[in-house]
Amino acid sequence: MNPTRLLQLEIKNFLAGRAVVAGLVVIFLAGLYAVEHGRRTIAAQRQALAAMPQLQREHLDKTLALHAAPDPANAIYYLNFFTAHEPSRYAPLSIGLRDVNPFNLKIRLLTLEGQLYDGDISNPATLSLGNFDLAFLLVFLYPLLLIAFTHNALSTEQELGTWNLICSQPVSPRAVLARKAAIRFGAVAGVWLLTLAAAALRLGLAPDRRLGFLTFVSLAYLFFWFAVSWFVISFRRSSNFNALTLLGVWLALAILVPAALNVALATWLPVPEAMAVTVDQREGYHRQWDRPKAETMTRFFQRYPEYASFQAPPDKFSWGWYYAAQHLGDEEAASASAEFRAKLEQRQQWMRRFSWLTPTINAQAAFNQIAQTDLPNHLAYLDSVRSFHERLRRVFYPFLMRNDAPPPFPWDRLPAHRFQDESLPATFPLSALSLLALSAALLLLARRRTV
Amino acid sequence: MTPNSILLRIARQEVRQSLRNRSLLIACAGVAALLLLATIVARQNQARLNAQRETWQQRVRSNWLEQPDRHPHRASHYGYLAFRPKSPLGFFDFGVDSFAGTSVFLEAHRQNTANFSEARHSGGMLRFGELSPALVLQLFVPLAIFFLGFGAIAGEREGGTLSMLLAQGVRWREILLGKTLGVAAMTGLMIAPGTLLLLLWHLGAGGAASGDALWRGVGLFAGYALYLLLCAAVAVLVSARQQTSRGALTSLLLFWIVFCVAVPRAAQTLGAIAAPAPAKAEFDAALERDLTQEGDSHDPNDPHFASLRAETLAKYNVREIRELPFNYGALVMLEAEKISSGIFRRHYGELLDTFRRQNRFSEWGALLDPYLAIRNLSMALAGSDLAHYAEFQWQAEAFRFEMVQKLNQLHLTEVRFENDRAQRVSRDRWQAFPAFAFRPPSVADALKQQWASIAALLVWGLGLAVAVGRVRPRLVT
Repeated sequence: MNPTRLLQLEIKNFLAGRAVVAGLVVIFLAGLYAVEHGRRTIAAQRQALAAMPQLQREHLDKTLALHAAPDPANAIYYLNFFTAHEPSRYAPLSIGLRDVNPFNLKIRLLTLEGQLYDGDISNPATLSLGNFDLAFLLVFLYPLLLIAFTHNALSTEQELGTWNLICSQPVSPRAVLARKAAIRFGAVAGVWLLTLAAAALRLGLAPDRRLGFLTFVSLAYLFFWFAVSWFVISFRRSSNFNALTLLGVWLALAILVPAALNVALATWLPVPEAMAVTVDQREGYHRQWDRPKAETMTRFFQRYPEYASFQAPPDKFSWGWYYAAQHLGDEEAASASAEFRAKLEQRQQWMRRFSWLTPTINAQAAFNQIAQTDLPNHLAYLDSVRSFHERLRRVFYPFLMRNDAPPPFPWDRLPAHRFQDESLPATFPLSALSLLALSAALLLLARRRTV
Repeated sequence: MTPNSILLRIARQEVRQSLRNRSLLIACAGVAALLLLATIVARQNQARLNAQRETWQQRVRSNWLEQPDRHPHRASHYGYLAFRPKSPLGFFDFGVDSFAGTSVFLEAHRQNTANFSEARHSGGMLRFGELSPALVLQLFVPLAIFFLGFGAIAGEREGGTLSMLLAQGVRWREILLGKTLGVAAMTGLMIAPGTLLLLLWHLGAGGAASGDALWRGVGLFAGYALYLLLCAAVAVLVSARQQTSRGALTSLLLFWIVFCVAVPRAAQTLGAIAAPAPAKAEFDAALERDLTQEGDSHDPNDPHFASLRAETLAKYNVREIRELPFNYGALVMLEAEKISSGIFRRHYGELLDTFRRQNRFSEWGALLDPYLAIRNLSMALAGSDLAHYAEFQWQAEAFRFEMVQKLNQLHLTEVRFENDRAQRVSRDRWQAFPAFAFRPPSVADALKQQWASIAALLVWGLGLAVAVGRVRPRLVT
């Protein structure tokens, strides 16, 4: 028989398996659901963000109407400034931490460290179960499908006694195996690519670099699971043994190892600094009320010498003094805040290291990185809020820190916050290469066994 | 032979067979070790987190007490920080704990969000799952049970021993029940070390001292016993109905994937779609709108406060507020706090209702998926579900309200209206304020919201019991 005919027969044989077509259809439908879930979740966030300019205008108008006269500084006290963490176009594919971390923060000219970590009002039960997005489908469910399809590729033939028949034929058993392997991986990878294509269509994604990276990472990840399956079945044990062993590997990689690493990180790198920041900024600011105003101003002028000519009345409230005091809250919390930040980055770094050897973490982290929904991205957003707050200070301080009457406030020229994920470069997730390396190693080991 | 002794003999035989199977033993030992490990690690983790929160809670308390003489309204802006302790059984089941805020800043005029959930610090790995005894019992042990039970009947059939049993006059239901008992007994052996450790720790931590802790322990034990028994029965029934043991294993694994991995997430995301919750900005804007409508003390033209002023002046028969026998500014703040707290309670209550509606999919889904039933029941009993978190928020708000109103009261009576801001009250006053201490809801309150889960477990139990009595396994392969 010619090779094409053999391939056709093998495909027919594979698809004749009772659950095979059903499995492929179900996972494709699950993929459509995942895309839709991601789209809705991110669309809801976009909608909330889109409403913000309007909310900001209304808030500004109302606050100015109530408080801008007689002392416009009163209005500054009540003013909230809206900041937005716009999702990338790829966020629906991998919602990542966008539901755990707030995607918009309202800030005032007060101590920033007391405002930067405000939570969102989300349902913790929903957060704890996690999102049914494409990343989840790929990382958790696709490997199970691959396992289901490959675990008995060889053992069924053995159990039915057909393997000896094949070996007695004038075709090389290795070619037969390779065909079986290619068909199984091809079917799963094909459905996945179809799902990705559907996602790209539904979300209006152009075939650009990011989509290329996503495709590469996901195929490498699927290939890893294929290699694991092939490695296990190369021991030529029973179908039951293969199924259980592979499920054991899946459990270890998908749940156990990440959970254990997470606990280990939480233990080695605890973050009491989070609480220290909160307490320090509060003490640092409120303490100023109980000390001579000149002391507060001296410390403030060390940071902002350009306003040193401002003389705060020693026994009377002044807005200039008030914001200086608020600022000292940030100064007080600065070291804890920096440590907190460093700890988070360390945790992130460790996760990256783990990902080289843990394919599940690898794929999830790469997806979150490409979709710009990971921790570094959130930290970058917080940085943008930080520099926006600094801009606000530079806008308002000259009006507040002066001895004469200030000129009219430029209410119509207030700065607006901007931060967009895709302003960050899309870098190739290098650690995805480890998926290929691990796969190659497993396949080599398997090859030595099956020959 | 009496029916009972036949049952026991079949069960014993099943256990003996399992004990002879090396790979089965390895798997069971692995799960047993995992349960022990999860218990130890989770408890350490809990102790660390609680110690951290306790330390900071005390720091906040002593800072409060050490405040110098201050104006009462200064103190209410200085405020207080409430930390949410993990419940005593929180280490058993993390529930939603790691995704809920752990500290909330309590101050005058506004309700802040609970910040610093563990999940926000984890960089995403937390999303894979958290190593807790509950995770092992809910996900891993059932898998081991399926492993133990997939060949219970199908294996006998393939070995030809099934018809021999029947020829001896053993009845179907005795075989099925005996096999189920056998698998259950093996499961018991497997989880015994972990359970024992959990029991000792629970008792050591006062688990028997209070009725509440005792009932939580008993409830968890009963719930998991029933859940695992269900799993054993499912395994045996599937083994009886499927042609081959291989088919039985495949079906059982499929069950597990669908019920333990896919359905839970799908149910919750469907719930979130069915009952959309407002974004934070919308929530805040709605609060602000209501505040403007009902009375905004920061608005000098607000009608509510204008009439309060007129009524007060009339009541005391004076023409100006500075002639009043108390500090009118404080009266305004007392009233404003009452209004804003009421509005917040209403809105937050509505938000929680939305969350509950979202969770309803998972609650009713329990009738289809027993994993969801035990999951919900377990975190409710462990004190780590949404209800416990909501209770913390309510108690923190109640504490905030009382603290602020007490300070406003001091302001009202001990600070003169003239030159208000320059005055201070003695620091001795701070001693009279209580420390924040979270009182978890009672086990009865926790269970009240769990009747769907309990009903689901019982319905499944009943259904499977009937099935064990009725099902006629295939005789030939």
